[in-house]
Amino acid sequence: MARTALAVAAAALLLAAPLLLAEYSLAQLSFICIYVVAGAGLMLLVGYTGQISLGHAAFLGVGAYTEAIAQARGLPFPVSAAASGLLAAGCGALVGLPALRLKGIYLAIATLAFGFIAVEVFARWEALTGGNAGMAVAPVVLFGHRLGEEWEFYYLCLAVAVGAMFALANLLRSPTGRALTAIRDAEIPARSLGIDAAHYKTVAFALSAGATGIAGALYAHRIGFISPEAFDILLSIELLTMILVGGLGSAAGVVFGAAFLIAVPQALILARELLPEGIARQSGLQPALFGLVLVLTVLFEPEGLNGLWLRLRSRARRGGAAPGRRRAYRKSERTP
Amino acid sequence: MSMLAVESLCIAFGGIRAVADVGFEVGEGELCALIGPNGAGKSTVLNAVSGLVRPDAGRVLFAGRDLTRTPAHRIAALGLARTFQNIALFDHASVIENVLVGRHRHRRSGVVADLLGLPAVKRAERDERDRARAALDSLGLGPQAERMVAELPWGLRKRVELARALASEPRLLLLDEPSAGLSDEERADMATAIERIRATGGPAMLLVEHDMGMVSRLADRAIALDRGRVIAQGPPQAVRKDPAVIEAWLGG
Repeated sequence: MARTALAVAAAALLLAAPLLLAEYSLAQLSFICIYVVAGAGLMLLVGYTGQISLGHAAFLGVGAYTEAIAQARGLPFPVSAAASGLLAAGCGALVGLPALRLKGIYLAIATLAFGFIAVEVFARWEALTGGNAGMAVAPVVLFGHRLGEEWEFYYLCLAVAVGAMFALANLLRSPTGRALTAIRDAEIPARSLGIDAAHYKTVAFALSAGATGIAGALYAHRIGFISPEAFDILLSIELLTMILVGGLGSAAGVVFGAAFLIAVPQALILARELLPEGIARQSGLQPALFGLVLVLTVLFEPEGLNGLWLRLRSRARRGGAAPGRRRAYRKSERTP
Repeated sequence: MSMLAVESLCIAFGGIRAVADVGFEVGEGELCALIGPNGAGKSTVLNAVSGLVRPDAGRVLFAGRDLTRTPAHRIAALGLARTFQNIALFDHASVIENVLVGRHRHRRSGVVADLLGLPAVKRAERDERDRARAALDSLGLGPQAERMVAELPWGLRKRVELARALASEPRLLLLDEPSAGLSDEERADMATAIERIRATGGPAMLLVEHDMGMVSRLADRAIALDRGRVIAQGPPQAVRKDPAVIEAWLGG
């Protein structure tokens, strides 16, 4: 019952957010929702299928550019956003091909290469993307109504994020989800139980890229102006950091990770006022902090913020250490 | 018609001939045991039959169908299930989820339906859970259904793996050392479980086993391998007394 109460309270807060928050904070909340959508996709691939991608910013970019271009051509948002998802999913299926032969670091390099190629394409295909000069993106028009206000756009992002989380939850409870985690935990036994590993890895890449593409469509509207360097390797690493810090192999970790990713830069802005001027004005504080948190997570809390949360909750309930709770997936435990 | 026919199978790893000209059959409903000293090629034969190792020569026929070049997942889909010597469960899942993966070949929904959580998917899921539970109950694992596999002792995990294979409702079941690492008591339980599977019209079985007591108790026929070759086959008692077998065992 406590769980239901918590869910109801969270839902009420999210729905009431436009009344409670200033415009700027609400915009940050929209960002969190967008990252949740992308994170749900990346979590499916990395956390549940055991594949890695260092090129997910490219899928976000494919979605963002598709949305910007389609909108400029007068397509309605539901159509352009769906196109963003589908096109990114198509790219994902293609990028997934090397995953049928490569594992671990080699797959990481292959996806990294895809990321570089995509940024190059965004920059060079000037007729379509405006090249390095970038593209301005107008607010979303939904069923003839222009979502010009921050709260209007926020509700759209919230709806998509909730949809993405539901889809992830559905998938994980289904035969498809079980096939993916089976491949992650032990690929050879999975194959000998009738699971076509090549097929399911491709499906995972396509779904993951598709979700990230839809996130990209929202992202384009959120930042209002897109250019190739917005989708470089740093963003890919941020997305990976998000799910690692959130907790690999946990759906809740997606939300924790997205909140973390948005909260850190905000905290830095506040911290800058308190820090000595020499440090506060240094560039690169944010990547450094992300890096530090990533290292600390891997060392001390491999199950991420979600693991931390579960532990605190069970401690509060029982007044003791967490007993045999459901263990999240750890990379180091993978069956070779 | 035999359920499984292995014909002049040859498999080499680098320069080592792991399996050389091995041939045998397993009839419908029959239980055959592959026996032999370590390194005789028993597990390699199982791997070739289940499609995890590609033979260099020879054929594997499953219910009359040539599966020599068929990928493992397709062989499984045709009704072949197996267990592994060192237990290959999905450690991050519960017992029942492991068994549900065994039901994979019977899945009816597609990826999109799964994603949307359509009512048909949920209905099928309830149905599948019932069947998985039945498989667990039949091996006395009902109380463990919701526990995480990683928490279970070896003996129970061994049985979960058997339940997972059975849940796929196979026509042929390959068991790679079902008694390995078990205590005497657990061995007896495992033998009883296998007998019960047979008594309830279970699949044909091919098992690799070191425990000759277990082989004599369970198997209709034994096939003895040594250095990749069949050195004797027939009723377990006879194979056990075969001079070639005795010599291989004593390291002649």
